[in-house]
Amino acid sequence: MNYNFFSIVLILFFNFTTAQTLKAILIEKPIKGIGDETTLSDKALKPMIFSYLYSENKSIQNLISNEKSSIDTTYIEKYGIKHQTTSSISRPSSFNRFKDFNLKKLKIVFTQDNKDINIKESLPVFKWKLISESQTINGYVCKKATTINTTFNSNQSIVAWYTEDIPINDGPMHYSGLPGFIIQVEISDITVLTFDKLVFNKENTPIEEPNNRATEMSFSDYSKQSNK
Amino acid sequence: MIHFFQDICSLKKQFLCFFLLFAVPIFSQNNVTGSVVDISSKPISQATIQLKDIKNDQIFAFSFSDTSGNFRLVVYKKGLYILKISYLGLKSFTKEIEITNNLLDVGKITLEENKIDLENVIIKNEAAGMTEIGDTLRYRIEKFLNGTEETLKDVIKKLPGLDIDSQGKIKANGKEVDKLLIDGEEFFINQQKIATENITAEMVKNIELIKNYTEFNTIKKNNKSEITALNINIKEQFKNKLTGNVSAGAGDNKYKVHATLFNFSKKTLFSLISDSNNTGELSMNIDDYTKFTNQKEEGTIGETTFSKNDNLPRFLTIGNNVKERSSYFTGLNLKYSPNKKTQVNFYSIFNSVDQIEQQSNTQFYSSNSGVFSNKDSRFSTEETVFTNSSIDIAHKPNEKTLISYKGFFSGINKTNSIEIDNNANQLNNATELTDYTFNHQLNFATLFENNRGFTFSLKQQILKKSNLLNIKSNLPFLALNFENNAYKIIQNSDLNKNNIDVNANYTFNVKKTANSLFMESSSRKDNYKSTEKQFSQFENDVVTENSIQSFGLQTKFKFSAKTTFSSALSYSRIQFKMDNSTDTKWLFTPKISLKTDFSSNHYIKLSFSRNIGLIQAENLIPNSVISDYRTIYSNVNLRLNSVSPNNQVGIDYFYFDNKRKLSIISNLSYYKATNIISNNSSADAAVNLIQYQLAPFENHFNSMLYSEKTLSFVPFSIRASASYSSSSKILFSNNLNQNLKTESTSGYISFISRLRQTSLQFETGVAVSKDVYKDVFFNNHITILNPFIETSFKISNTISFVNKFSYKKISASTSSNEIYQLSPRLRINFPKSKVELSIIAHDILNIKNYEQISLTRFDNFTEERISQSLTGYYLLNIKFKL
Repeated sequence: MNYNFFSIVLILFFNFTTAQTLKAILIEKPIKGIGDETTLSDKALKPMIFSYLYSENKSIQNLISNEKSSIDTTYIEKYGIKHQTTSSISRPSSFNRFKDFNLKKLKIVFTQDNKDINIKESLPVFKWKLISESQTINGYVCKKATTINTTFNSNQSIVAWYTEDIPINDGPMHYSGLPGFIIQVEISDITVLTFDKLVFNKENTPIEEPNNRATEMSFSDYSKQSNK
Repeated sequence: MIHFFQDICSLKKQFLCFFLLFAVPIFSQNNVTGSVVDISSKPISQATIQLKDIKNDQIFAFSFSDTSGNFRLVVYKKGLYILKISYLGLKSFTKEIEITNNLLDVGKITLEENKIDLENVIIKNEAAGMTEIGDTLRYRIEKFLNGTEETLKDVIKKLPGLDIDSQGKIKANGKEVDKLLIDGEEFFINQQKIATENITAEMVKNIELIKNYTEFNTIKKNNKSEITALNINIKEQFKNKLTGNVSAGAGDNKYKVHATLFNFSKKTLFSLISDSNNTGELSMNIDDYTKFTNQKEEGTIGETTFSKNDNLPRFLTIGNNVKERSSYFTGLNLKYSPNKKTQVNFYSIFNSVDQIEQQSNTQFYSSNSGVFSNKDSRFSTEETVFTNSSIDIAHKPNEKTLISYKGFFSGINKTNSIEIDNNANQLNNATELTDYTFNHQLNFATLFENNRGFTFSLKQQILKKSNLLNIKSNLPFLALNFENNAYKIIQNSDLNKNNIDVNANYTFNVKKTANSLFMESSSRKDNYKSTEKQFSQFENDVVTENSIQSFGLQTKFKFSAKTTFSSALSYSRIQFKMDNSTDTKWLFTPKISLKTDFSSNHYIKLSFSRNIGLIQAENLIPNSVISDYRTIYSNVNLRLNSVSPNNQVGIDYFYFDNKRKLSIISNLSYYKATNIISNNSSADAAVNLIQYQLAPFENHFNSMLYSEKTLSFVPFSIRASASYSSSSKILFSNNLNQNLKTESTSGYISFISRLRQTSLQFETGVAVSKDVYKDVFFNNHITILNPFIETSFKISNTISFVNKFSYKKISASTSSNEIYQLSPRLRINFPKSKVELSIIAHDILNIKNYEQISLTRFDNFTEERISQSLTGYYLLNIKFKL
């Protein structure tokens, strides 16, 4: 009996050190389109999935679901007349979003329609409004915060749900700056981004800045270029 | 014209801007600055810095430290705040700060490593529906339920790791849960069974299991409380209004009326539960009862008491082995928190139970001439009225001071009459017992700087117990010489106790040790009296007066991050007084324990303690006392000053691992005590004489292994549990010591469905148990084999069906029987109406009383009892929801 008992103790003996790495999955779920016809087709409703890694004040989001752009022709019937309509879905085939919080740096590297893009910006700063409302998302008690996103030429009202249980200043996409990890971001009523399957690791994981063949440019240069 | 209008407009804007500028200086900016470093003094970048409201969790300001660890926060209002600094993998730092100046520099703050809890800080267990954050394990209950659950009890039973035992006690990972919380508030104090059977499943939002729960009634210190609590979060729609239900059921000669009323709001929690039935169902259990009647705060004087179980109401000890039973119960619970600083908790319970028992007993005795048996058959009626009320007021003027008052009253009145048929003798053994206890205490605790603290408490306990024993017989009994052939015993016994305790405690830290210096003074006055009408040998009058002064030092020291050593060394002076003779003894009673936490779910603890076994007045009788028609108690060698410290050695091992699809819980404990109060007995055909005596030792070993595995290829979980416990105790029989060994082994294996698509759930398995009592003379055992199947099926949105079927084979040394039990239950829920109908059938295969065999080991005999059990019944039940 005694022998068994101590062998159990020995087998179950673990040594724990400090947790340093967070791995998770980020799911981007489109809900509505922009424009007249806001109901999305099944194809467009398909969520995009990113892997997420955080360690030593750096984080990276990599697209892991297999995506491609498509243009579908469909017909809708109105007043007995058939109208031809196209629904185009434009999605990148590779996408990496890198943040360095010490250097306040944001880097977005992606390939869309066989074209490489490499954008470098300073980390955007948001003016968050904390709201005393809470809900549980994926098992974490989250508090609500809102802001208006004006970065990258947009003007969207943002609802973020952050948890104080995870003291990491980061969140989905380029969002951060709340007193806890942002588990979910709701962009107007168009898209919801949620972190899931969070796993903590005791060791640090080195995160490399992503790069591709394209030259680095700022977002304003990129938007000028793409509007040409 | 337009030009003029534009001018006005711009003028307005300028004006507005002017005023805005003006307004800023009114809310003066207050800055809080500082820097964050780790234990190697390296600056921490990106740590989260928050200023929170001292009362609620509201955040006033937050920011992040820069690359050199510096931070700055801006608030507009001066006053008290909580500063919280956190960083992934490090222990969060919190401190109360007061902002009086425009600039407050909190200086360099070091975040310590968070070694012990880290592995468990956040474990996401999506597949299993459980989330563990720090010390809290949250169940997403909808993952485990199928909609057929009626009460909180049904919900808890379906959650992995949680269970409710046959006594209604909630068990988490094989260990009893200390506190039950409703929405994070302590409520239903000592009433776990009442709460779990009355809160309906639809009210429950989610369930959390909290380790190291901090009660409101204690001042928060850095050390862990080691209290486990189960928190039931209530759905919003059941809060801030009166909810509840009334139900009435009727069947063939059976009825059940039940009403519950709840109001859960922010300041007040209220519940009123009322139940009346003759189905045999009880509203409280033995565990609740002992908690109600023994509300003692643990003192620092190690003390063990020895008492007989005779005074417990039989309805609690006998379980379902009664022929008929009816009960009436009302319980009121009220919690009022007028503000964040004060809490008032009140409850009052009234329970009355009438029952009839019929049984035939065979008692196996050992004697000089060998083993002999005594057979009797009994028919007993008992009426019990039990009432208990408690009030607990706690006030915290600030986070560091606590004043509390607790008071409770408990009373029991029991009349019992047993018709006994023993050989040719017809007897009537009647008892009438009244027992009142009143306890109250006042506590004051305060915490100074540097974790120094002071506590003071004053308590008083008053107990009055009187018992009237009346035995009539047609033949002589107890080997007494009755006069005029009047075979009658009328014995009156009274017990009065009055205890006053004063305790003062000063805690302080020296480097890494937490120390506490304590002084305790207690005065106990006991008086036990008994008289018998005919015989003077049953006359006793014992008055004892003890006064104890103790002082000592408690130390807690952390060897490493995982190992804690704690000790309490106390030195006591005991002054005894009995029959005008006094005596004084000095005793050293140390307590030492060593605990290693491999993680918060995995620890081993070694402990040693020496306690004073104060002898009660009841045990010091100079003459004898009659207990029943064949039992007499007396005292051999116990004297008031014959306290000899008893030593206890224990090992506790606990392991709980909750990985993705496999949980393992293991619990081992060993305990050995020396110098315990035991007894010497000698029995013959007429009398069983039991004499109090000291025995050299007693030991217990308990082990439990539980495992649950979710299979990935089939939608099932396998649950298996095995437990083994053994104890050995020295008893004296005819002045010869003999070792009584008790072994019980039990185990079960069951399959639980985790079907996602259908609304059918079932659990099937088999439970086995074996109890063995062994000494020089006997070897008795009882085995129970119990395969069972429980199904719950949601037939449609409105109809759900629950069925339990079990087969029990009980075999004892000389008898055996088989019981089939079937309890189906159909519930119809009308979605838009407030009415619910159910057809309840309980144990319908046994509409007539059946016989249940049980085996109980008493001091010097083993009793095999065949008793008439409660009958099955069916009820048509209507429930109205408020």
